[in-house]
Formats: sequence, structure tokens, C-alpha cells
Amino acid sequence: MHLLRILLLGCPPGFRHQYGREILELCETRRRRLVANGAQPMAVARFWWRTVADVSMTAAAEWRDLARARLASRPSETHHNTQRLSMYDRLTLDIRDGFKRLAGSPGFTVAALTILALGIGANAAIFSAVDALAFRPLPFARPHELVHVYQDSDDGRPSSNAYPAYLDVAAVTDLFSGVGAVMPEGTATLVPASGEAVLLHVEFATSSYLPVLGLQPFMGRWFGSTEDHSGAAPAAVVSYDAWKRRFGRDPNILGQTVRLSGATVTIVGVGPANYDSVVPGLAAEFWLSISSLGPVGGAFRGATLTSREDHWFQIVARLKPGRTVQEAQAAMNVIAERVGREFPETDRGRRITVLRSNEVRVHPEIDAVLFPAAGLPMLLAGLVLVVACSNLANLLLVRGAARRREFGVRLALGASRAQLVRALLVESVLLAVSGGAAGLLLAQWMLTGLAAARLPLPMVFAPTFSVDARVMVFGIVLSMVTGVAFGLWPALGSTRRDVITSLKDAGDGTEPRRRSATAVRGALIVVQVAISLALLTGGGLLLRSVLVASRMNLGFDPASVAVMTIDVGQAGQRAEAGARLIDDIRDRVSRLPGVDRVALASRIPLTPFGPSTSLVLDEHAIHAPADRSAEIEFTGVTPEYFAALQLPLRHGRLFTDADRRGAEPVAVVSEAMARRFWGTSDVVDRRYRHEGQADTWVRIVGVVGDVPIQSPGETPRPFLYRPVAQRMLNTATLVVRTSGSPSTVLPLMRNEVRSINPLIPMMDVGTMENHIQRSLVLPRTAMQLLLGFAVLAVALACVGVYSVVAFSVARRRREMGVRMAVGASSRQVTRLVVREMMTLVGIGTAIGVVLAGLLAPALRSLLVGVQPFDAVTFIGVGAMIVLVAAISTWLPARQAGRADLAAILRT
Amino acid sequence: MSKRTEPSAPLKPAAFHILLTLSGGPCHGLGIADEVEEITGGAVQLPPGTLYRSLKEMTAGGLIRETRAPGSDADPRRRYYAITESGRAALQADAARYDRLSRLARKRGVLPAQAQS
Repeated sequence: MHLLRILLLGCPPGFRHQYGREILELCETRRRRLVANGAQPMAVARFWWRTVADVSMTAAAEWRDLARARLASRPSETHHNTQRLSMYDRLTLDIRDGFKRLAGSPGFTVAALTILALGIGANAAIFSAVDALAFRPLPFARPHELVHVYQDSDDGRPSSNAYPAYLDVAAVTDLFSGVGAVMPEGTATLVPASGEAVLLHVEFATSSYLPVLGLQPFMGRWFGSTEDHSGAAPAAVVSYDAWKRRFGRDPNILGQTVRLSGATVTIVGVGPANYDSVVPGLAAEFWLSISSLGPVGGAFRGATLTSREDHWFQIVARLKPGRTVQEAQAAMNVIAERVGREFPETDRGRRITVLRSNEVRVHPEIDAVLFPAAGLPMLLAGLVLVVACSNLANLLLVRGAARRREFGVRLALGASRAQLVRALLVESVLLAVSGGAAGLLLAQWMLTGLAAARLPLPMVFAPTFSVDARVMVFGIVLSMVTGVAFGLWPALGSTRRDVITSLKDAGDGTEPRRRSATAVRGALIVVQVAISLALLTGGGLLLRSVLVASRMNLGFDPASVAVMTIDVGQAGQRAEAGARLIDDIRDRVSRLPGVDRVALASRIPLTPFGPSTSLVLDEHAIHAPADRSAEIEFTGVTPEYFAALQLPLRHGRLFTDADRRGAEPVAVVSEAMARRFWGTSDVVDRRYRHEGQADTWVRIVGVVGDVPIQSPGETPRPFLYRPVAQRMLNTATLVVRTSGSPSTVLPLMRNEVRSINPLIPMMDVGTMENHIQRSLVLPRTAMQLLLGFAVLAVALACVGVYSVVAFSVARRRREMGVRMAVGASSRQVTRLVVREMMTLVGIGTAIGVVLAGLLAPALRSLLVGVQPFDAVTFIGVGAMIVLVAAISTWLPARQAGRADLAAILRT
Repeated sequence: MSKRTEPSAPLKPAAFHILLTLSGGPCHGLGIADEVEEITGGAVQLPPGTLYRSLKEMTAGGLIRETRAPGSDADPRRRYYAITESGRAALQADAARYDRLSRLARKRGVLPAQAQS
């Protein structure tokens, strides 16, 4: 619809004012009807294409009528009328001529439009996505007054704040007009009236939070100051989006209650329509008052309100008018000093940092990752645009050369050079505008697809991708620059010629070839080949990595294993009752048909995040950091766990049911841990203790094989297994080995858990194979993105090579004819053309390999089991590019050898 | 576009459909679009630009005229159009032309002969 509005701006004002509104209305009605009838995306695209084409044609026809009417009203001026016409009329005529000329060479026009649309579409889509995540301004009032306040982490970087620290900052009333805090990392289980419990993203916020940002709830109210205290009744503000989606815009939502993680919470408001999370791109479904922290988040979260150790909150403050960030920083230094004195064990030396709101997008630590991550796709899209542009320039160079004779005639008939340049300029702008419009349409289409693709993440990741005004401007500027710069520049050359030569030159090669133009065309080919090779190498590396990773020996057997994570803590169950509940679930699942073994673990392989603990090792340890302590990741498991995953035992024994609470504390370690800290794989009967527990030594009873802990292909990490009976679990993953297909057992497992307690949220339900695939989502997404761009670039480069060869063959027919007349065989002539082009391709390939070598290390973190300088990929991709380029050269080059000798030499 | 006033000139397809719709009474642009789609069983969907450009040209050519919103249920914000005498004449002439053509086509066996129409 935005697009249509812009198109309508292209209509004469009279027509627009009279009919514009109704045209929009008609389109909207038709679009709605189409969507309501469940039309396929292709049908919708066709509809848009037809509509846009129709409106553009109408605009052109209206302008033509207008121009005719004006010319007709001044019949006495027909002599040299173009000179005396007003600017406006002249432009109208030029536009009409431009349309006519473009329509006159449909092959060129379609090719140029396709190239522009692909290049601009890809860029606009990527820009839109990146813009939504990283650049689009947040909807805060007077953002220059807003500052973020961060307590430093233990290693001295701005991090998150403890709630008492928020209270300290909020007490500074002479500098700040308001201070708010929010806890972004919250989850809660919503238990709807009917159906299954779902895990939601929620944010806990103070009563001051929304007012400080300068936002108002859409409906109802935000939290009151009484709700900032743990005793008050829990209150919730439902986000605008969740109100729409979950509650069907229920106008009577206020005062209703919802069950969140076992607590009953009253909805007091609906959030602002344009803001749904402190993290752009994420969507919180509820904001919960500080008074909800205990009831909904559990005692563990509730305790953070008084703890100076737990840093969970982000603080945002609004400076009073006239106050500066420096003053705020000075005041924070005083607070940090005082807090450090009063609470030396937690806060000594811990500084507080104030950052202007425009210096922070999400959080300093996340920003450090976000911006490079956002830059990479922009870079890739930009490279594709460079290929598209050089392609377009090539096309226009070819066209310009072909039209030299036409220009010569026009100059001879008295046209000024300025007139020709103006005509060319108009033509370029017409191309750019149409190409840009098509590109934006394409971008919109790609974004619809992108937004529909749900990433398998535990959060609702709902960025609003749309072609908005910013993307429009981006697209229009981009298409103007591409179209005009690359359109006009080559065309200019073809007007800078004297009449005689132009007329003599029939484009048949009687004139010596112009070296500079040939050199430019050659350079453009080199650029295209180099960039497509670099992109394809990146894509190839990721593809190989994904292939290698999915065939990799993981150290356990993932076939016939079903997994399901349950969270009894979220269901409002506490400690002992929770442990009994988990036992109950395990027993009932193990009685299901088709189930061989059931195990529980607090963390299964290939889980990116997990807890770690600091160990002090016994005196046999050969290598350990200072005072023999080591930070080790761990999991709590039931005895069946190793059998369920078929994890091989290397030394000693596995856990038994005798390893219970109260018995001797024992552990099983991974082979990597044994080798790293004791220098041998057999470490049975070695001991360690947890830091801070001086007397409780844990004995190692077994060593098992290594499995990937965080991501596929990682170097084996030291890992620790403890009997689950000796460590409490809140969240547990059921690992079930089945005799048949694991997917048939999954629904039975769900039913069983639901029948025990419908409040228990079930997460990540699936087969172990699914779980492994999920761990590859990042490399896989990157691969798809990169390969998509690479294929686009290679296709464009092939078109470029083809068109240049075809053109050069056509222009050099006479030269070829002469060569054949003096005895060259047709094969020799073909070979000559191919050799010229392949020299360029060779240079391009060499540069491309260097470029790929520069880019490849950037992919290192995404590569699994493949080195960035993987010879197979580099050689394979290089060979592929050369082959494809050779085919693109050979096809048109054959024409050179087939030339009809007699016909050529006659001309 | 004065040539439109001459009844014998063949009408453009869009103009023909618009006149055919308006022969049943005054209507506004959106209504015409819907009606055309309906009477042709969805075969003809007038694109928005073409529709309004035709309305403009036909008004200028005197085939149709803008009229007051008829009745109380009419939408006052919309422009209503009614067929003029010369519009009716053009429609009739064109319809007769189509009739002649289809009879000719039947006679030549291009279309199957119909028992009675």
C-alpha cells in the first residue's frame, strides 16, 4: 500500500487528487479479499505486479495526455517547439521518449530491471532486517535525556545491576527526574483456561520504568509504587501484541486474572503498541510488577530483591533538564565508593558506568556482538550489489556503444549534446525508479518469508520486519545512485564523439576498438568473478561444515532417543515436592510401551548454556590453575543416563542406585577432564572438592568418553557428571531410549506428564536428532544466507560474462572474418575469443581467492569440523567458477567461429 | 478525447464493461469494479488505474456524467456516475456490433450454433 501511494505520486496532480483515494481503496479491498480467500504468496505477488504495472501505465498515459493537450493549445509554436517549451513540458516529453526507447529494446530493459531489482531487493530486505534489530530508533520520548546505568561485572565491564543498587541510584533525585529498572530475562508459564501450559517471555519492571521511557500504556494503567514491594498483590501489564494474539483484543481485559507459574496475577493494563521489550526483536508477553517477582519467578528470583550479589536488572534514568551525563557519572562514582565501603565482600572496587541512551542498543555486552553480526549480512548484500552494478554498467556500456550511430545521427540533425545527455539521464532515472520499485516489492516478499521462518529459539523472536519509510528511502537512494551513476557514466562516453566518426562507424569493427572501454569492461568482469568466488567460497565452507557436522561421530548414539525438558520449578512446585514429582514422571514414562530406558539429566549434550562450578583438585593433579582450582561445567544424571545415550565407559564404574543422598559423594568425569587435570585417562579414586566446602571430598569412580557439550565439533571439554540423587533438580530433561521410533513415544510422554500435572511446562520436546539439528541452526542459517547471495552473484556474473562475450563477438565479426579468410579455422577463432575472456576470469579467480582468504577467518566461529582455509572448498569453488565462466564464454563464442565469411566481408 | 462521442467508434473493452454496468443505474467507481467482476463471473477484473482513467476519459467524452448520490443508503464521499444518452447509444451500437460479429462467427462455424437466444 505504501508502494502504491508512492506510485500515485507519479501521476499528474489533477488525476491523483480526483481518483487517488478511490484507487487505493479499491486495491485494499481486492487485496483483503484475496488474502481472506487464502491466496498463495505467488497469487498475491501476481496481484501486486498487475496492480503496480497498471498504475504505472496509467500515470504514463495521463502525462502523455497532459503533454499533448499543452502542445495542442499552442499550435503557433510548433517550430522548434522543444526549445521554447517550459522545463515542465520538456521533462514530460523526455519522460515519454524515455519510456518509448526503453520499450523499444525490451530485452535490454528486462535484463536491466531484473539486475536492479535483485540487487536492490536483496539489499533492502537485509537493510530492513538489520535496521529493525540494530538501528531503528526506539520510541522513547526525548531520548537525549535518557541514560543507562550499569554496575560493572567482576571483570570490570559494564554489566547488570543488583536491585539494591537500583534503589541507591533511584535515591539520586537532584539529577534524575526518574529512574526505572527492568529484569529482562524472565520466563513464566501461562496456564490458559483450556489447553497446554506454555512458557512465555516476561519482564519484571518497576512502577517507574514505563514513565521514565516516556511511554503510556495503550489501555488501563502501568504499575503503582505500592506494587514495587514484595508484599503487594502481583500485577501484570499484557503487551499490546499478546493482547491482540492471545486475548483477541478483548476490551474487558482489565481486571481479569491469569495464572502465571502457579501464581494468580491481575491484568491492570495493556502495553504501548510500539514497544514490547527492552531487547529489540524480542517480544515480552507480560510485564510483571516487582511484587510478582517472588510469586511468579519463585523464591530464588524473589530473593534477588535484597541481594547485592545477584545482578539481574537493567537501569534506565532520565536526566533533569540541564543536567549532564558527566554529573550523573560523578554521582554514580560516589555511590559506588560508598556501596563498596559498606558491602566490601560483594562490591569492593565495583564501579558504576553511565552511558547515554544513544550509545547503547541492547546492552554493552550484547551490542559488541550485535553490530558485527548485523554488519556481515549488510556486507554480503553490498557485495551482491557491487556485482549487480558492474553488470548493469556492462549492459549500458554495450548499449551505449550500439547506439553511437543513433547519437551521431541526432547530433548531425542539430541536437545539442546537452539534449542527448538529458535524454539519457531521464532514461537512467526511469530505469532506476522502476528497478527500485520492483526491488522494494521483492524485498517485501522476501521479508514476509523471513518473518514467517520461526527460529527454533526458546524466546519469542518477533522482530517487525517491514518495508517502512526508512527502507524506502534506503532503496530509492540506492536505486538512484546505481541507476544514475552506472547508467549515465557509460552512456556519457557514447555522446562524446564527433559526428563524422559516429556516422562512419556502423558498429562493424572498421574503427579500431576503443581501448579504454574494453579495459573498463574487462575490469568489471574481473570484479564480478572475484566477488562471486569469494561469496561462493564462504557458502561452500559453511555447507561443508553443516554436512560434516551432521555426519560427525558424537561419542554417543543419538538414534532412537527421545528428549523432553520439564520444569517443575515453573509449575510452582518447590524442593522436595519437585523431586518426588520428577521421580513419579520417570516411573510412569518407563512403563510406556516402546520405552527401553528412561534417564534424567539436568543438562544433555549440545546445550549451549549451562552452569559451572569451581573445583579444588587433589594433590595428584598435574595441571591446574592457581591453587589447583578449576571451573568445570557439570550435569546431574540418573544411573541409566549413560546406557540411554550409549556413552562408553572407559575406566571404573558408572553410577548405581546406591549413589544416593547421604552416601559417599561420587562423580564420573569425561576423558578430556581426566587428561587435562591428571594427565592420564584412568583417574578412578582421584578426588576433588567444591570451592567453599572444605571438608566434602568427592571421589571419582568412573571415566566416560567425550561428547560435545556446547556445540558440535568443539574440542573435547572437561565435563563432570554427578548422581542426580546427590544434587537437586528444578529443570530436568528426560532422555528416553526407545525400541521403535522415538517420535511415536513422544505424544505418549506428553500425555503422561499432562495427566500428572497440567501446569508443568514441557520444552524442547523432540527426538535427539532434532536436538542435534537445532544446535546447528546458526551455521545452517548463515549457510543459507551466504549460499543464497553467492548463487545470485554467480548467476549475475555469468550473465555479465555472456553478454560481454556476445557483444564483443558481434562487434568483431569483421576481424574474425578476416582471420578466417587468411586461413584461421573456426575453432581457432572461437579459441581466440575464449582465451581473451578466460584471461579475465583467471585474474578474477585469483583476486577472488585472495578475497575469500580474507573473509574466511570471519566465519571461523560458525565452522564445525572444517578449517577456514579448507583446500577442498577453495579448489572446488575455484574450479566451479572457472567452469561456469567457461560455459558462459563458450556459448556465445561459438558464434564467432560460425560467422558466414562471405556475408561478413561483403559489408 | 472528442472522438468518443461518435457512436460508431468501437469502445475499448473497459469502457464497454463500464457502460454495461451503468446501464442498470448510477454507481460509484468501486461499485462498478465489483459489478463488472460479478457479471463476467470474475473473468474481467478492471485494474484500478485503467478503471479511473476510463471514467475520466468517458466523462470528458460525454459517454457518462457525474451525478448526485442516489438514495439515502449511498455513500456521500463517493463520486457517482450515470450513463448519458450518447453513452447509451455507443453501448447499443457496440453491443449490436458484437451481436453481428458473433452471428457471423456462428455462420462460419467458429462458434457452435445456438438453438435460440
